[in-house]
Amino acid sequence: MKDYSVIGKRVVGIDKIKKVTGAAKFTADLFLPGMLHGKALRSPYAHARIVKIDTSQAEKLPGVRAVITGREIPRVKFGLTKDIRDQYLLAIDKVRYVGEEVAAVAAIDEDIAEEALSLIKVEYEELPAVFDAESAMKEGAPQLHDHVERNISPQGVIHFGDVDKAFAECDHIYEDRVADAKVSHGQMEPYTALAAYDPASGSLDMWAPNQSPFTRRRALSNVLQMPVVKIRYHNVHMGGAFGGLSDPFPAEFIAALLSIKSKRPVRVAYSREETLIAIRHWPSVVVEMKVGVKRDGTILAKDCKLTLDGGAYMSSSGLAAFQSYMHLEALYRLPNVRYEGIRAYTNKTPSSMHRLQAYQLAILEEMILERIAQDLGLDSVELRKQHATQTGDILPSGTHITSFALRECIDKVVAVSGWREKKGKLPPGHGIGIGCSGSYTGFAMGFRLNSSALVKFNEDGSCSVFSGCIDNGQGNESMLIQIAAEVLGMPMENIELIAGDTALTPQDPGTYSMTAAFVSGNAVRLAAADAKQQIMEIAMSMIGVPANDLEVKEGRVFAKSSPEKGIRIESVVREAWRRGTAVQGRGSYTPPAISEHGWADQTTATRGQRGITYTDGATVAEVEVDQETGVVKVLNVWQAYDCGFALNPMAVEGQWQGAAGQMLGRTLFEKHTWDEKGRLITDSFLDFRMPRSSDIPKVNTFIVEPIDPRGPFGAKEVGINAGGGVGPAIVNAIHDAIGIWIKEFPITPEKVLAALEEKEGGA
Amino acid sequence: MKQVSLTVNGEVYEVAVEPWWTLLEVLREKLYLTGAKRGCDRGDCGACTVLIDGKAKLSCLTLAVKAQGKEILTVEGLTRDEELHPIQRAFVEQGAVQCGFCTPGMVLAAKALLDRNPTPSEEEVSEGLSGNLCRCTGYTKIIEAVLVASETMERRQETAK
Repeated sequence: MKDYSVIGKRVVGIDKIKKVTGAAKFTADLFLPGMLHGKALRSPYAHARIVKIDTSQAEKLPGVRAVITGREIPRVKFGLTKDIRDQYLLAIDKVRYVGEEVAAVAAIDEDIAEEALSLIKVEYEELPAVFDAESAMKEGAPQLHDHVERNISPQGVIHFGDVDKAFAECDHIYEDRVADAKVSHGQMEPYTALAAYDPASGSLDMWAPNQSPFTRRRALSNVLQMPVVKIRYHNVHMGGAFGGLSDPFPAEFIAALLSIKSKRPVRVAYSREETLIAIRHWPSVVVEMKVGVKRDGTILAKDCKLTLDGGAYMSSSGLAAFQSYMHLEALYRLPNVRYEGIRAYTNKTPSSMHRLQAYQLAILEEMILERIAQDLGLDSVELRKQHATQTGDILPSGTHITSFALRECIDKVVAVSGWREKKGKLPPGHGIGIGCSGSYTGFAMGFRLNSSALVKFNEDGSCSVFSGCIDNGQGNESMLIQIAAEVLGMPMENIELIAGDTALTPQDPGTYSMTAAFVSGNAVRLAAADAKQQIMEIAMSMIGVPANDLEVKEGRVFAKSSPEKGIRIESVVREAWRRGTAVQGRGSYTPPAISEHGWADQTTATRGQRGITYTDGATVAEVEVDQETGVVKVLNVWQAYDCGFALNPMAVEGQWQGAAGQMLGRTLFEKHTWDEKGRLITDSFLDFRMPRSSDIPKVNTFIVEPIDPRGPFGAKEVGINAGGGVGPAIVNAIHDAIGIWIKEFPITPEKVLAALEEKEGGA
Repeated sequence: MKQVSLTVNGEVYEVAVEPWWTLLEVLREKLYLTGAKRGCDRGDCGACTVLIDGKAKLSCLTLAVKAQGKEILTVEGLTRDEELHPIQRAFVEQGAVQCGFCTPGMVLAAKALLDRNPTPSEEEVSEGLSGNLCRCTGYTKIIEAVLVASETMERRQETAK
C-alpha cells in the first residue's frame, strides 16, 4: 500500500471541535434581524377536497405578519424529475395525507403563530382513503392523483437471461416472502428552514438541511417562478439525512413565501411530531422471491417482485422501487434474473429512499440462501462464496465490475466472529447468522451526475477549495480537504473549504447518489492536481528545474534530485499574479455510468455501465432469544465491508457502526402505526422506538480495501451499503436460535412469541 | 413577564421570562446559547441536556423560573481557557462526533455519569447514556470515547494528588 501523508489516516474531522463545543450552528441556531417564526396548518384528514379557507381572523391577531394559503401560490407542481411532478408544496385543491400543509402563518413568536393557526377556518369535503399498497392498487380504489391509474406509479420489469427457461432446468425451487413496516429516517435534527427575502434586490437566501442545494434551488426556482440566480442555498451544519432529505419540503417553500409576503426573514422550525409526520418515511415493501438451484447448489435463476407503499407523493420513492434491485445486482453471479418493481400511492406521508434501499430484498435473498444450504446439506458460507461476484466480472447487464471483495469480506467476518466455533454449537436460544449485502456508486442522473471543483491560492501559500458537495454529518467536508491536502502536499489546516453554497460553489450531485467520495472527491482531486500542475510550471521557470524532477510538499516546490533547490508555494503564487495569471485549479468529474439517462429510466436503461463501481460486505450477528418474553437481544455484530480504499478509516467505521444501529433498529424495534383515519400514532421517538445506546451492542467493523481504478485514491463508497447485512444476519441468527424464519419486520417480542406458539402447535 | 436571575456557566444573566417558558427556550432564544438543542421538546431524546447543580437535566422539561438560584452548566461552559474538557477531547479524537446534533447533550450526560461514577464499565456507560439518542454513530465510538475520557480524568486525578 502506498505511503500517504494524510489519506488513509485516522484524521480528526475539521468540524468536530466546533460540534463538541456547541459552536456549530444548525438552521434552528441561526438568528437574523427581524426574524419571524413560521408555522404550518396541517390537514386532519387523509384524503379530502379543500372547499374553503378563511384566514381573516388569523390575519387580525396582533403579532401576525403574514398568512398564506394555496390560493396565492403559482400552480406549479414539484417533483424530482419532470416526469414525476405531482405535488403542490402547499395544498391547493386537495390534501392527500394527514399532516399535509394547508396554510401557514408568520408571527413575531411561535406562541402567536400557533394561536393564529387555530384561528384559520378550513372547510373540507372528506374523501375515501387507502392506507396500504394492495388496497390502493385494486379496481375501484380511491384515486389519489387524476393522472395515475389504479394509484400505480411506477411499474417496471428488469429481465436478464431467461428466467422461465432456467427454472425448468432447476432441481429445486424456493419461494418466499417478507414484509416490513414504514419507519422514519430519524435524523436527530428536527426539520427547519430559514428564508430571507430581500425586496430591494428580489433575492432569496435559504438555509435548510438538505442533500443537494442545487436540486433544492432549482425546485424552488420552478415553484416560486423566480430565476435560479435569485435564489441562494447557503451551507449550514446539518443533523443527518440518511436519504430522507432528498427533496425540498413544504417547510422551505412556506418559509420563502412568508418571507416574500412579510418582507422579513422567516424561520419555520418543525417540531419532532411534525418531522415524524410530515417530511419523509422509508417506504415499506412486500418482497416475493423465487430462486431455482441445481442439486449441487448452483443457483440458476432468481425471480423477484417488490411492491412498495410510496405514500401520497412520489418524492424519491419511485426510484426506490428499482434501487432495491440495483444495489444487489452485482452481489452474486446470477445469469438469469427477473425483477418487477411496483410502487403504489397511498394516503400516508410521502416516502423517500433510505441508505440501502435493498435492505428487505437482501434479507429475503440471504434467508433463501440459508434455506438452500440447509436443505441440500451445504455450508451456507461456502454457498455464498461459490456465487460471489469477483473483480473483472461482467454482469448480465453489461456492467463491468472493476473492484469487488465479497469473498474476502466473508472470509474476514467468518474469522473474526468465531463463526466456525459457534455455528451449531451455541446453547438453546442462542444463534449466529450471516448476511451479505452490496451497493453501487452513482446511478444515472443525467447532467446532475457531474461534480466540479475549484482551488484558489492565497498570498501566504494557503488555499481555498470550492466544492458543491455538502456534509450531512458523514464527514464529507473533512474528506475533501484531506484529498486536496494529499495532492498538494499541504497540511489540512492550511486549506479552507467552501462547500455546498449555490452562489459560491460549482454544481454537485449531492449526497443521495452515493457519489460524495467517488464523484465529488474526484473533482476535488482533479482541481488540486490542476493547481499543482500550474504551480510546477511557474516554479520550473523560477528555479530552473525540469518538470519531471519537481515535487510539491510541505508548502514547497523543490527538485526531487536535490531538495534544497526549491521555493515556497507562496512565492510561486505571487509570481503568478505578477505575470498576469493566477494559480487557480479547475476539476470536473462525471463518472462513466450511462449518464445520458435520467433518474426515471432505471428500467429502460438496462444495458451498459449501470453503476460506476460496486461495494459489498458481510455481517455476522449473534443473538439471544428469550423464549419466555420473545425479546431478541443482539449480543454482538461483526461487519467486514468493502469501501475501496478507506480515505479516513475512523470516519468509515463510524458510518458502518451508525448504519448497523439503524438497521438493527429497523429489524427489531422501529415501526410507524396509523389509526383507521390515517393519523400517525407513533409521532414521538418514544413511540416510534428509536434505538438507544443500551439496545445496540458494540459493532465490530473491519475494512476490506480492494483498490478501485477510478475512485479517488481507490475509494468507492461508504454510506449506503453500510449496515446492509445486519438485517439478514439477525434474521438468520434468530432462525439459528429458535428454528423459525420470522418474515415480518420489525421482529417484536409479540411476533417471536406468536411464532414460537405456532411452531409448538404444529409440532 | 417575570424577572429572573440565571447563573449559566458561572455568569449571571438577568432576563425577563414568561412563567411557561422552558429553560431550553430561554438558553437558546434569549441567551443565544444554542449548544443545547431542541430535538423533541418532550424529554425523549436528551439533546437538550444541561447540568443543573451537577445533575443531568432535560432543559426542555425544566421551567426557566425554576432554574433560578441554581448552577447551570451548558456545553459552552465545558471548555476552560480555550482548552477542551477531556470528555470533549475524547469525543473528537475517538470519532464519536458525526453530525454533532446530539453531541452537546451527550457530552454533558457523559460528564454527569463520570462525575457520579469515575470508572464505569462499558455496560454502565451504555446504560448511563441511554437517555441520549444518536442516529449517526450507533453509539459504539461514543461509549469508547467516554471510557477513554474516564481514564484520562483518573490519571489527572492521580497526578494532582
